[in-house]
Amino acid sequence: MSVSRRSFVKKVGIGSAAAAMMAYDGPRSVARAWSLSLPEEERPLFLQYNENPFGPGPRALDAMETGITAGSHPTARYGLSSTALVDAITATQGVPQANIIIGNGSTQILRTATHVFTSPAKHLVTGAPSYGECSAYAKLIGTPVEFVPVSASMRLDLDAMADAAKGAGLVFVDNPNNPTAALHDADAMGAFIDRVMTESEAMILIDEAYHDYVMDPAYRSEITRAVRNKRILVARTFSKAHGMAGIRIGYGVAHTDTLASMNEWHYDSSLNVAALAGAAASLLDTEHTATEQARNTEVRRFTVDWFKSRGIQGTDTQTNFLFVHTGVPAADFRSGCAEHAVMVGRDFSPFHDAWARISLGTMEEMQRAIEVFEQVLELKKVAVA
Amino acid sequence: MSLSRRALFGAHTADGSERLRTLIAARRRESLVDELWPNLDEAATVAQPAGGEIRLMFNENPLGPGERALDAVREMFPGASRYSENTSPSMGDLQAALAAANDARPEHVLLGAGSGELLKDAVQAFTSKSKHMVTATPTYTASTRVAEYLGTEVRAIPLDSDGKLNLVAMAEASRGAGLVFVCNPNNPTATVHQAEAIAEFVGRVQQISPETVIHFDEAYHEYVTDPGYRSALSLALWTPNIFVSRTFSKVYGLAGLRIGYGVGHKDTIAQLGRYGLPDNVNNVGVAAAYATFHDPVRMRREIRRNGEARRFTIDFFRKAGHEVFESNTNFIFVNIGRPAAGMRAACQEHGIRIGRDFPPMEKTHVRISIGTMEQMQQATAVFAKVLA
Repeated sequence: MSVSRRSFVKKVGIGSAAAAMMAYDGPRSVARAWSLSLPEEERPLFLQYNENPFGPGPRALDAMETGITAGSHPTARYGLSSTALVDAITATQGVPQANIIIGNGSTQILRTATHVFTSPAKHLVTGAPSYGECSAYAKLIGTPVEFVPVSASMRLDLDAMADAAKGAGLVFVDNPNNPTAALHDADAMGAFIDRVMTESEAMILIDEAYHDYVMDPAYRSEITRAVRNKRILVARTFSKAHGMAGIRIGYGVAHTDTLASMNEWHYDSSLNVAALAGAAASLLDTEHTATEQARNTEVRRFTVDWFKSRGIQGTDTQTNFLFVHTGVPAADFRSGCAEHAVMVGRDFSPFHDAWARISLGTMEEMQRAIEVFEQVLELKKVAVA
Repeated sequence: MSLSRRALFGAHTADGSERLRTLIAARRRESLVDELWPNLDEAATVAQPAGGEIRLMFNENPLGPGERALDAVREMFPGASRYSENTSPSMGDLQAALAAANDARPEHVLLGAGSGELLKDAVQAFTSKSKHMVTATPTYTASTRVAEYLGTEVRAIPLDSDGKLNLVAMAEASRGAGLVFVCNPNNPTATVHQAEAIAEFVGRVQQISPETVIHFDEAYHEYVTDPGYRSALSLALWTPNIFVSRTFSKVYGLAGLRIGYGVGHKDTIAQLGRYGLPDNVNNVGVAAAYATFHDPVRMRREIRRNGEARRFTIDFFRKAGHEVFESNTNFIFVNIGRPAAGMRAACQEHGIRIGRDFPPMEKTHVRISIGTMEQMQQATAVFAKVLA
């Protein structure tokens, strides 16, 4: 174990460190806030929330500065314009301005869609395990939820989800899927969409949060289909590759009829001037996004290859996290890593008995993390088939 | 922007879209106000840059939040990827500060993306097709729009002839209601009910309809100068089914960063919080709010500045023969005896923007926000012309 990790553990005592860090309560970890007071080389590695280890790129930062100072006190103004951001989305994604809705993170897009398109009589269909925002809100408002287990390949079971779409209000498709990290290619998505369109009246919400990290050439975003198709909504976020999770900005693309329905409910005063400026600039800084994609790809390949070299299989990840078959309960793996100041993902039922989700940090962080994984899992190199 | 800061962020400007070639951060003369704070008089007479319209339609703070707040925002920029639960200051820090300032605990405080989010969540949390909402007319209508979408019946009680909420009638109408929306001070009339009337109202509602939730919207609380006014917050903390909403958008000048909060009985706050958007509060807004909340000197200067400009503007209208309700906010509601739309259009031609229509009083009354003294001197010259 590196000196810095050892000194951290010695400083706080293994027991208290582990106890503090194991008190998982989502991204609201008290331990994380506390750790910011430590010198950087002594901080634990946070590999459990799929966060981008870097913030926004320099052009986005510049735009955020301008956003809070340009003109006359923009931070004090109502009626902020999202024109710059909408135009940037149009320019980079090739969808018209009228087909764009902006949200306080894609969280707000998912919520609005769940509210508008589901009800006690029109259920929600979602994968299991999958990203839980829609199902959590559905529960709050009394919408029944049909959870469809992922298939043996750890992909969303699109056939079963299409079956479940009969009578549904909304089908939530996380592509790539969180937490299983794998995606469905264009053909599979196309076939699924056709089935749902023909056999049901459900809306399809496709969450492409990890879109920028996908390298699989068979993947295709459904964003242009969403413009023409009254029953498809695509959600995107600035929380991952663009490094803006904390300033809260995301968007959706859909047919204008769909947006008209959503806009009746959508709380449109949640957007702040820094996020509007930064997101627009970040989208236009395609060079930076490409660099970030390449960086993540390199770290991902490194970490995946390492697990393979130790005989551990994982899903074909197209995101900034891994879903690996450690063979031990996630809780044990988590507590073992925590004792070495490495924080990995929570339980993802029903796979918490043998699978772990590990977010990707920087290359340096992953080089340190694998030392811990090796120790915790008592791994040895195996011949790679 | 100082040289060192530009060096830190780099001199990049976005290439490509011309729209994105945003304005250079010119240090407008108003921003010099922050350097002049020790001398309030000088601060109040900073000249309006030529060519800019005067915005008196949204009840904004004309001087913004101040450079300290902006510095706090800047410090947060590199940490933009961190959720506000994990930043420093964090959501929790802001919540704790708000609680402590009100002799309460964090469980009594709920943050929102603007108090508007809390207004919406309250309607969703406490009303239904069988539990109506009571409000006033004219008053702030954001809650009403949400209620209408949800199919909640809305009973809007007319103000009395003094432009004040008719609390007696609102209490009567609260029987069986899910929610009573009480905007105190009231928007758009700028009137305020004093402590006794509020306490009596609460007592009446709790007698008539103890399950009804009372929402006091105190967005303009800090601007109140009526010595008989008391915030309902202390009542709300310890009385079931009451909460108060406040905002960082007005006196603190942070409308563009979207931070509001609710304070009230812990059970009511908990129920309201169940409907809040996850991760609703952005981290730069938290940083700015935390900074401004810990700058009470600035806030007091703003209240005094607003009071003077408000007095000047009210005096202008009264001398010109127009009735104005005594204002306890950063706007006034004037009886111009003709439709607001006409005056609004005429003012716009002179670069002054005043408030929207407020039915059912839009045929005779207009709402005008209070800007800087300089702005109000310019604006009243235009008003005189337009109303001649």
